[in-house]
Order: sequence, then structure tokens, then C-alpha cells
Amino acid sequence: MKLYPTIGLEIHAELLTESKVFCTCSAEFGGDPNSRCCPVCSGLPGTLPVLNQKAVEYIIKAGYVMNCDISRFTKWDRKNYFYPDLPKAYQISQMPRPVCLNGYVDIVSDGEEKRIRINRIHLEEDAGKLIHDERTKQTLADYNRCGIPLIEIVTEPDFHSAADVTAFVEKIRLLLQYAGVCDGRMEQGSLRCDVNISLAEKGAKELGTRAEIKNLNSVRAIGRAIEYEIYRQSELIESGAKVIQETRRFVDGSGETVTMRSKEDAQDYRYFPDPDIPPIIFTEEEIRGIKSSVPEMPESRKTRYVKEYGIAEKDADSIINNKLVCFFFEEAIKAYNSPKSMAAFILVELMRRINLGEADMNNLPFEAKDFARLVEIMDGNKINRSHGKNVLRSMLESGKKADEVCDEEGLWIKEDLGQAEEVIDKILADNPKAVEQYRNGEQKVFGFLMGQANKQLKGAASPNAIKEILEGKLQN
Amino acid sequence: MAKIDKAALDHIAELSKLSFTDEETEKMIDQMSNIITFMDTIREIDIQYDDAKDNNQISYARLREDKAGESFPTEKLLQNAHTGGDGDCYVLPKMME
Amino acid sequence: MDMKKTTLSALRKSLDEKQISAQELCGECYRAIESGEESIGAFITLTKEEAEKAAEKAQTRIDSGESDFLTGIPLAIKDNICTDGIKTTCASKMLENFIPPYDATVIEKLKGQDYVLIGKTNMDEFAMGGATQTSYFKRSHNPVDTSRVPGGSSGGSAAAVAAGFVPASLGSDTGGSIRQPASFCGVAGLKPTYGRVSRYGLVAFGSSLDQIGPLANTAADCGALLNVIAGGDERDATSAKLPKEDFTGKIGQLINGMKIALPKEFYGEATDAEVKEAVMKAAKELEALGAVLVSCEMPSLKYGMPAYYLIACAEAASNLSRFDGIKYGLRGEGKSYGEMILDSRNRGFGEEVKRRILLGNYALSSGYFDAYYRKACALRQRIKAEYEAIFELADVILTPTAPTVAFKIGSDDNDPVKMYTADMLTVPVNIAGLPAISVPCGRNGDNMPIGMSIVGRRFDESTLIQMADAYEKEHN
Repeated sequence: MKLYPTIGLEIHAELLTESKVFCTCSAEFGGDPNSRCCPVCSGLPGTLPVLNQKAVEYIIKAGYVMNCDISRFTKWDRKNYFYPDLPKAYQISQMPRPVCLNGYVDIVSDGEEKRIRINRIHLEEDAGKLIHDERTKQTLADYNRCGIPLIEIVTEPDFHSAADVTAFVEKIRLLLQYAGVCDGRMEQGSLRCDVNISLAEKGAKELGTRAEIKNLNSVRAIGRAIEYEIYRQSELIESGAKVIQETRRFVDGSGETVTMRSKEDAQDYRYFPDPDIPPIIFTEEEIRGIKSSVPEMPESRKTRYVKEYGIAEKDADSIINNKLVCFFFEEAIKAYNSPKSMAAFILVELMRRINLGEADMNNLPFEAKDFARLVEIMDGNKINRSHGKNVLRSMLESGKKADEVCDEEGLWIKEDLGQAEEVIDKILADNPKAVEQYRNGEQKVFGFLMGQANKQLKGAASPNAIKEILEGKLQN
Repeated sequence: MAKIDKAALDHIAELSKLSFTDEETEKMIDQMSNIITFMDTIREIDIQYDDAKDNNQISYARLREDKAGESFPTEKLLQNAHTGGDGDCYVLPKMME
Repeated sequence: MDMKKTTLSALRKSLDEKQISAQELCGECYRAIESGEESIGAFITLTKEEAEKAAEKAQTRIDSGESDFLTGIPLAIKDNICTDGIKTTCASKMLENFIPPYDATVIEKLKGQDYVLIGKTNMDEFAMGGATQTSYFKRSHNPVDTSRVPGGSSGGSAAAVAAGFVPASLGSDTGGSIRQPASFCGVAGLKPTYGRVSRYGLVAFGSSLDQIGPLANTAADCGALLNVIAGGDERDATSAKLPKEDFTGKIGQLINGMKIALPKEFYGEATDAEVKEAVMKAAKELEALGAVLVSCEMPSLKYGMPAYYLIACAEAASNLSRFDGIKYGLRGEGKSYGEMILDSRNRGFGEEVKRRILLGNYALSSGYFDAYYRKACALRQRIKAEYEAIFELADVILTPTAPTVAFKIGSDDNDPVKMYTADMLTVPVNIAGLPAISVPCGRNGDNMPIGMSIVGRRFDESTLIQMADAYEKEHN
């Protein structure tokens, strides 16, 4: 019996707004307990939610990059359940009329292109954090995270392997980052994933009983949890036992999933329209305006790099797979339009420094245009190419500009053409045989003469200039 | 005829996070049955709800601008709460994990 | 000074002309309370100390010649409107010790004019009731006949005005909670259009129905108070952003030719003969002043009450879920969160509140949602449409406020359905979000006041006040 997994996802992504979704508290990550709170997000009696426009703009952008239909009429509902991380005892969410419906995202998994359908994306509020104190046998509640805007992306059950899922999550993370709506930091919980997974014989009419694995917060954990769950469910089914419909938790240490106590005993959320938040209507113009403000997506950038700039596909992938690198690259070529040499120097030298931990892409001591200037200097043979990486290191360490570093370290190649002529004349006079050979068509001796000239003129003239003078003299 | 039985009452009590003694339950079943019988008058009319026809929508343009303001002083915010930690957290009996 | 006979504008004049000081006026209120409160029970909390300070501050402002309309005017506030630093109990054991850390928007506005808060008034627990008998603290009595109820849920606010403790007060109206006690106590009470007054800081009962409004000796005073508390609020998305308006502006204009609709269902069997007679007599008097009486129908009135209770209780069930003992309110005992929350709610809420929470959750629960909650929403649309049809024919609607006069204390304690039926004439106005004012229109054989309600188009409070004032002037 060959069992075939079917997987669907619910991805929660925190939006990068300045304020919370229903009040004006800061939506920044962290802070002292309950320091980013007010009567509204702490659920005090009498308070009311007021919807943040930017959060709505961002979910529309997310929907757009995932090819969703954007509703012209949308409204918010209350999802009622008691849990101490939810101060109002209801979460403001969306049920029958979410902002985004019916989208899709294409992924490549195991070398094969696949289309994953998006069922819906809706906007809701995040819950607070509970801290369990073993010593005092108490639970502490911190509501700083309450009210941070969250979008929930619900997919159709279109995945059939861990690889499908991880490819999709990586892709979604990238799309959200490029759209500028979520930082995608899974380790901080700003992107979290719930996985629904069931097994059945391939071609079976009905899906098997599913288990839900909650709150996976790294791509690696997602992959491992799915692999384990496929193993666990196959063992159960093959031994004749039944899979129970339940919520499970992934234990990072053991790589296993375990039964999690359900958040609520009775799963009846009693959704109904939130009377405090009027439904919203959009004009076509507003939606068009939001869509047009979405920056170019990574796929399209990659195509452009390969086709227009002639960058190798592998290198183009390396650039687009990191939004910061990609945006840095584009800024840099605006200052100095040489995409190929720029890409090469970024991917080899800059990335090496980053990978060694000597620099942080989030916090470079110079701007893209300063980096571009270095590449321009190198390409123009103004310094010896081998000095380029040292200049980069100095720039990273001191924050100085490329020109400044070259000045201080005396790296400039001086173009003293008078001296070059003299030296070359002398070389030609000293090597009559070689000159003779060259003039008889033995071109390879040119290299020997160039070598001699370069050696004697190091730092006084650029290789280009030397080559030009040498060629001129040999032809006479 | 009773409109709801004990099981039904227990279920809504659980959803409501309320509980009742046997005596209270009996009285509550009685009263709730009367109330629901009364509410059932609306079942006789055949009419559909259309949420898009409610005229209380607002336009996207009128939503709140995304600007963070000062948060509330933590101590004042928690002045009615049992606190723990450094006095800046709400405290409750330990949750089972 | 007899507070029962005075008006806010007369008090304003006395204060500004230094015939009385704010401190003296404040003292008058407490003297009246000291002698009468024991038999009335209008207040939960008296704020004498704060009031004296506020009066002093107000007097300084008056002396500097910069008084606003309410500077130095003593008012009572219903105890479900949050007051920073002053207990706000909602007449519930749950909130017996709750001190809000913030002011409701209406309180900010009153404070901005340097009003004087005399105390927080008694009410039905969480505004659930029509007689001010479900308060955890005390029953309120009708100043006209202390063996009778003052009506509710804003019974304390109505009784405080009727007893002459304060010249005016604020209440809240979800299904008649301002108009019905005004009618029972023989004072004027205005329920503004939904969205006219910010709900921020009003502890929510039925969020799509609740409005804060004034109770006073005259319709003109209600209008003058509305002038201060009305206006769009950034903290309440359901409040309407409209240009500032003087609601007393039409007072004195002729009502000649204005059309008054009399929907026959409001004058049916359920309404006492004496009540009908008094309201019809008032209608004739208005006709004599030049108004035109128009007969009309509201066929769905009989569904108004069940639809109202289903919507109000569904919203209330959700609104009251936040009372879990963690953040504020009665803290239950228990070793676990589950035990603690149950104990908090079991002991914190009274019987009527529990019944309505149960009904609300029943109407929202899986399997019943469509038959109850959704059907009620459909009926709400139907009733709105019927009102719109009537306003095609008429400028205002005239109905009895309540089917009866104030009843004896204890007479409806054990019959919830009977208690709900008493609201049948007031709830349709809330369902449709319309403004309505109740003013006295005579007395019955037991010398108990009868009230009539004038209902207007959305945001047409000015016309209601104009007509009610015309009627009052005809009688004094």
C-alpha cells in the first residue's frame, strides 16, 4: 500500500505597520512587558477598535503578489474563545468576507514547476504572550503582541511532500518581503506556519483524517515536522490503527510531533460581524493605486537580469533570493551601470565578508553607490584589481569611501605616459629579436613584451595604456 | 415542551464560561425554554439577510492613518489587575502545557 | 432652589450673573441627595470630594468670564460610562472595585467645559433590564411613587433628575434605557441617532445598538447637553463625522405643516388604554398647533422585540467575555485558569446577565446561527425599510414610550419574558439606529407620568427637540 500525503497550510504573517491594527500602540517587536499597550489592546471595558489603513493596504499588496481577487466589500468578524492571551476573549478576524480570495503561487519543487492555489487571505489581530513560571506555578501574560496586524494565508491542500511545502514557504516569505509587508523573520515569529496533513492511498476519493501541526517557526522545522508526521501516520495506518483528528506540536529537540492540548474545549467560535468595525468598501482607483505601488517581484527581476544584463541564471537566483542583496544590487547599478561586474563583486567579495560575519547586510557602513564606485574604479583599471577586495575590507571596517582608501593607501595607478614611452622604447631596443619575431607574425611574443613593460611600469601606467603604447610602437 | 435540555444548556454554559448547580440548571432550562419559545416567533417569517445591503460601510480612504502614538503607562493600565513578574504582567494560575 | 423646576440655561444664567456660585450649586445637589437618596437609591457612587474641587475650578473659570455652557453645572453619570480614577461598576459585582484608568470621550468633553460630577448612577446590571432592579448594589425607586420602579436601565439617571438631585444626567440606551425611565419618572430623555455620540468609554452591552444620551427636565436641556457630547470621534469608528450643529437651533420655529405619523401597531392591545389616550391627546394638541397627523403601519413591529433580544444578547455575550478575572474585575478562586475563570464569572454576574449571555451564545452557536442571529439581522433590515417608508410620508413618528406607566417594585422579578415585552415599543428605534425623545404627556389615574416618544430621521435630532419643545411650551 503506497500512502500519499496531502498537505494544506495556514501561514500567519505579521505586517510591518508602525502602529497596531486597532489602536495606536507601536507594533514593534519586543519591549518590556505590557509597555506597548493601551486600554484598547488590553481589552479594557468600553474601548473600541479603529482599523489601521496601512494594514489594509498591506493585505491587498499581499493578495496582489499572490494573484488573488481583491474584494470590493470586506468586513470583520469576532472569533470568540476564552484564552488568557486574548484579552477581549475574541479575536477580530474575517470569516465570510475576507479581503483576498482565490489566488495562486507557482513554485519549483524537485525540479518540477507546481501551482499552489490560495484559498483566501484575511486580516486579523495577533494575541499576546504567556510566560509560564515553573517556580511560582503561575502564568504571566504580556499583551505587547496583542493587536499586531496579522494576515492569514490559507492554501488549498495542493502539497504532497515536505519539499513542496518548504519551497512554497520560502517563496511566500520572499514575496512578502519584496512587497514590503512582512520582514519574514521566522525566528521572531513574524512568519508562522500551521500544517494540515493527512495520508491516503494515491487516487483515493477521500482524504484521510488530518492532523494539524501548529506554530512552526523555521523552514527547517516545517520540513522535519512533515517528514515525521508522514512517518507517524503511515506507521499508524499500516499497523491498522487510526489517525486521530487533533492539533499537534513539533518538538525541535527530538524532531517528533506530540499531541497538544487544544486551545479550547469546545471548538465553536461563534463568528459574527464585529459591530464596532464598519465594513469597508474600496473604489477601483484605490485598489489600482495600491497595486501600482507594489515593487517588481523577484521572478521578473531575475528574468531581466538574465536577459538584459547577461548575468548567469545561478547568479541571478543568488541575487533575488535575498531582498536586501537584490535591492543593494539595483541601487548600485543605478550609480554605475555595469551589472555583470557589479553582480560578480557582490556575490563573491561582499557576500564572503557577510558570510564571515564581518558585515551585516542590514547594517552596512556605506551606501550602494559607494560600493558601486569601488567597482567602477576597478573596472577602469584605476587600481590594481587584486587590491579591490582589500579596499572593500577597509571600507567595511572604517566606513570610508573607496576613493579615500585608495588615496590613503597609495593604490592609484598613475598614468605617466611620458615615462611609459621611454621605458617601452628601452624594452624594444633591448629585445630586437622579439620585435623581429612579432613583426614576422609571431604574435605570442607580445605577451612577453607586455609582461616586461608591466613589471617595470607597475603603478605608473595602467595595463590598458601600456598595451596601447606597445601596440602602436610595434606597428611602426 | 422544553426547548432545550440539560445537555444543550451545559453546552452553552461551557461556551459562556458559566456553570450552574442542579437546582439552578433546572430553573435556567425552564426560563431559557420560555425565552426561546418567544424568540421562535421570528422563525415564521421567511426573509433573507444581505450583509452588503447594510448601509453602514465606510470607505477605505477614511481609515485611520498608520501612526504610532505614546503607549499607556503600564502601572496605570494594570491598576485593576493581579500582577506578577516585576509587577508589569498580568498573573493567573499556571496554564497546563 | 428647586432643581426640578430649573433648566440648564437658567442655571447658566444664574452662575454667570453670580446669583449662585458653582460651589453653592454643588452643595444644593448634595443637600437634596442627603434628604432624598435613602428612599430613591439613585446613586452607586457619590463623588462629593471631587465635585467640590471641580466646582471650585469651575468657579475660577466663571470668574474669569470664560465659562462654557456646562461650566459649574452639576450632572450625574450612569455607572457604565468610564470615569478616570472613579469607580465604574456597571451595577455589577463583577466590577464592584473597578477603577477605569481612562475617561470616556463624553466625559472628556464634559470635563473640557468644567462640569461638576455629582455621582455615578444606579442601573440594571450591565444595562440589562428595564426597571433598575437587577443592580447588584440596590434597587432604585421612582421619585413620583417610591413603591414603583423608576424604569431602566438608566433608572438612577432618570430618578436623580426627577427627584431634583441634579438638573440633568447622562444615561445609555440600547433598547429604550433612556426613554423608558424618562417616561416612568416624568422627565425628558433623548436617545441620539446611532453614531451621533461616541461610544468610546461606554461599557458595551449591544454595540450596534448602544448610544449615550441626556436626561433632563426639558427637551431643550436635552438638546443643549447633546450639543456638548455629540460629535465624531477618532476612537469610535461607528461615530459619524458630521459638521457641528446646534440641536436647539430649531426651537421656537413653527411646527405648522409638519407631518406626524402614528403607526397603528404601537397603539395596539399591549398598550394601556390610559397611555394610548394620553398620547393621542398630545397628538391632537400638536395637530392644533398646525401639525398634520398621518396614519401608517409598521407590520414587523411584533418581530422587533425578539430580533432586538437576539442581536443585543449575541453582542453582549461576546462583549462580556472579557470579564475573566485576569485584567480587572472580580477575581475568582481556583487552582487552574479554567477553575478561576468559571468562579469569577459565576460569582461576578447576576442572574439576568447570565440569562442574556446564555441566550446570546445560543443564538450564535453552531446550528442555530442562521435561524436566530442571521434571521434577526434580516428583520433588522426589514424594520429599517419600514421606517424609511414611513419617513417618506411623515417628518416624525409619535408613539407611546412604554406600554404602561411605572409598575410596582417586585412585580416582574421572576418573569424574564414579561420583562422583555415591556421594551417592545422602544427597541425598534435602536434596531434602526434612529433618534427619539421621550417627554411627559400627562398622568394616569394613579397620578403616574406617561411618556410619549417622538422618533425622527437619522441625524434629525433638531426636529425632535423642536417638536417636543413646542408641546412642552403649550403645557407650561
